[in-house]
Amino acid sequence: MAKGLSGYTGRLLHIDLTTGKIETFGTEPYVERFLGGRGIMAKLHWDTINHKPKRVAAFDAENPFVIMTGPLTGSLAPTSGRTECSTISPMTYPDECYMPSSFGLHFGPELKFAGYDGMVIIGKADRPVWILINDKKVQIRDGRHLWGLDMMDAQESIWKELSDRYRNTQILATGPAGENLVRSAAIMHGTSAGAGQGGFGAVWGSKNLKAVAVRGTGSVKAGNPEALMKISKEAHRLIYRPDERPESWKNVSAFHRVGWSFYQKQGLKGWEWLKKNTSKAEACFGCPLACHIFVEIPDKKGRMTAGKCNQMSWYLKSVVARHGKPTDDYWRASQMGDALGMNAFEMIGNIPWLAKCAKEGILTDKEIGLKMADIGTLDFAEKLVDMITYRKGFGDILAEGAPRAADIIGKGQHLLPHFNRGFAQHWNPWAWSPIALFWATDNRHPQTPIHQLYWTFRMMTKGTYPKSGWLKEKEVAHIAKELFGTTKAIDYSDENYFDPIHAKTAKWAQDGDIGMKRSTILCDYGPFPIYASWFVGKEKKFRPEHPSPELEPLMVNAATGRELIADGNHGMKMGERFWNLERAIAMREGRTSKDDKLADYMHKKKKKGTVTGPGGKTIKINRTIDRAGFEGLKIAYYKERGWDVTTGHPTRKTLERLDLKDVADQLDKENLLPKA
Amino acid sequence: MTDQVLHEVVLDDDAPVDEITEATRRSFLQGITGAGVAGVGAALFGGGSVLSTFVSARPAMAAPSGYLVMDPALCTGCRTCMVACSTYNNNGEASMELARIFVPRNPTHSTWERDKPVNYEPRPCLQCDDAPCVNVCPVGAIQTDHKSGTNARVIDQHACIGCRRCIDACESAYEIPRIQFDEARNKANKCHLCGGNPQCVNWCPNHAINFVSTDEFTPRTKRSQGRTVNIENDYRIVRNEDRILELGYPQEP
Repeated sequence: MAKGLSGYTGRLLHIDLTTGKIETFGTEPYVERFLGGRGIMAKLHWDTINHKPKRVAAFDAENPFVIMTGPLTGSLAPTSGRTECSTISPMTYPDECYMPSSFGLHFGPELKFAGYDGMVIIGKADRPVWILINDKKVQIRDGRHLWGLDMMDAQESIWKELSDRYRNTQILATGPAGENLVRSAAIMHGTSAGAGQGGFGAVWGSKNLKAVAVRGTGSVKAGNPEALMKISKEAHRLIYRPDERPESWKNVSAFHRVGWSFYQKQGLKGWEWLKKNTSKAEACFGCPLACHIFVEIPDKKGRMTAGKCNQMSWYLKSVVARHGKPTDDYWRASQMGDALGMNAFEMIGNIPWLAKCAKEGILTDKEIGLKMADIGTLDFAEKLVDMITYRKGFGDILAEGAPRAADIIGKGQHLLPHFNRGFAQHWNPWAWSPIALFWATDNRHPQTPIHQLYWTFRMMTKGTYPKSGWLKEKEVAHIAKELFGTTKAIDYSDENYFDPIHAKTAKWAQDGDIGMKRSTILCDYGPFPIYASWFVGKEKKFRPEHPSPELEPLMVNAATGRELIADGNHGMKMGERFWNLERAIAMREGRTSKDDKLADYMHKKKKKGTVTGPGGKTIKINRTIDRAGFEGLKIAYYKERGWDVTTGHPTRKTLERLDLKDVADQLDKENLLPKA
Repeated sequence: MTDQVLHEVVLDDDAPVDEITEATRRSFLQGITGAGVAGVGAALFGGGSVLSTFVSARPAMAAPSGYLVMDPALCTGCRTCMVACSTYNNNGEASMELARIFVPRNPTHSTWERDKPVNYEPRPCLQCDDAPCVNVCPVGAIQTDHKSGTNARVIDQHACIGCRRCIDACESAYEIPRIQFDEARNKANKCHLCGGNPQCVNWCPNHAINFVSTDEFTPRTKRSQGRTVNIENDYRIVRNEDRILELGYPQEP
């Protein structure tokens, strides 16, 4: 712990796999401006690549892989277990671009206890290696005996090697998918956590890196422990506690119940299956929510694994379509995909695409090498996962990701269900225009700003996800009025869909998410932002006063012992700074407003839904997203951000307002700044 | 294949040692822990010779006011108890090594059937009546906390010489030792029931750890190395009703 740097360890690791050189450098210079997590990560990436004359590709040795924690990681603050990582992603389409991704469980806290706030891994080892960080001892070790193992076997093998009986060593590993450079391969931790989106496993594969194991016996000191305990306790109280949860939610992850009641309503009958087969909930470090759940169906090697959400259910719809109800097959498929290091979201895009291609006769069974009529059987899923992971036959093409696969075979592009940048469909832009903006403007699958916006309204949403919305229509309307001055902010009727207010809410959600959640680091999926002033008493009675996400900045200030978040705006300026820095990275990669788009079919295909309308009333919609209308909304968004409306690039004025003069200067040098 | 270290760096200790002083770590005797325990330390240390209280054939200690009783089926492995314990008892330091409760983890194994291991289980000190740790301490540093009224077995931080015999004794009885060792200060640490307000109970979001009064709960005991020690205070063992049924899923939401 460096002097005067509470909440941080004060050290960052720099590991060069090519030369084997291991060095440290200080966190201190980054803290004031970039806080941690995604903020420092973007700056580290920027600093590492900005002197490079040419564009760095994902599989280049010089592509930096950054892992970061934040000031709250490993602290008593609830949901403080997540870890952020970033690199130039092989998965983003059409170009390989900088992208952050994150994962949960216990890796980040252990890294901090070992004495590091984060690390930059660069270079390429001459043989398979793994990295062991044991407090002050950092080793690059021969990993040839781990190469080829699935991610759970790799972890078990390392625990055994270290004689770590209680599995105190936290390991991040990639599976065979990463080794075979499958563009969507994940890096996994535990049985169920992983950075799936982005293909980070493949980046590791290209670096010959199999695993990073961390054991930390040190400590991280809070700047103001009494305040941290007090505020965290309040946050704990405001998040569910079993005595405040309905009796029926005991021990079962609350989110699971929400999610599965959703599946139930969709006719997927998940509830019965869940009741029968799941046992214990599993939580990340310091998290009261425990959104992972163990399924009592061992895999072929007898291992029990946990699952959650989409990761757990990418094959569910196919199975239900075939059998009329969920069978164990969908879980076994998911287990196999996880173990081999496949990204579940990729499968969510691949399967419908293959099915449509087969249906339209674009691809035959013989070309694919699978009997497409078998969709919904375990055999089909196993073969598909296997052929992608090991790049067998058509799997070699699919391993490039569905959008690239379509380009390779030269057909089927119009059938891709992907929304933007090579990421499969998730959430519904037809219903909510901020989601359309998120998809267009983010550098990745914009899951986290979506969570930010819709947790704010605690609706998920009333009417749309029956029974999971917490608030009444008039309460939702009240929140909108308090935060954005008008109930139009939650009005997604056809007339109001392109209203500039949605540009404002989109920016607000992006900044709040990247600043106060993904940089501090708190869970994006969890309960934040917490509006403490909204709920009082055990029964969380809604109290319609002035809402503000006050707990997060208070926790950061207590953990660091200084006024890091003091802009009076709950860290929004921090968030805006990070967002602009990430945009600057994208600008160097050649991103312009032309890339801020939605998949073509979204402007043509009609989709039904239920949304909040005027005054928070629940209404039904059936629409396409009008192209011109959306372009107008995009310009409103650029204006809101202070970006040039033609290029979608931040201006010098905007960057300087956000204390990013050095970034502006660098962009200016490269002639990238918009002309005033 | 034998493992081979290709590159290794042992980094300089650039953490200033003067920050990790007796004073900052000694929250055991500081305000944050509460007045009750502060009284104990003072009494033990100030009230004459600590060593004089050491006798080899000591009668069994007074039973604690309550026990930490676990329900592993509810434990999610989040380690909030551990971070709460270390933050509270070490003046704001979050650390897994300084926590006086331990959650062994096995993420690839899960079952909550009776008498079978589960993947995450909190393992705190059981406050044995005839505690092996107490009897092996060569300086009699482990005492009963009468002052706070909890009768917890506590380690006098001034008397502890860091020999780790208590840890070995506990390990031989329980496999997972319930006493932690603070390397920086060369002292052993153990659960002192936070002066009657155990923070692990206070913070566990799932009520997997409960503080149950001695009136309501009598721990079962076993013989280990000639000593009578408590068996894990575990609902799976101590409660009659079937926890699985009790925790069973409700009707469709």
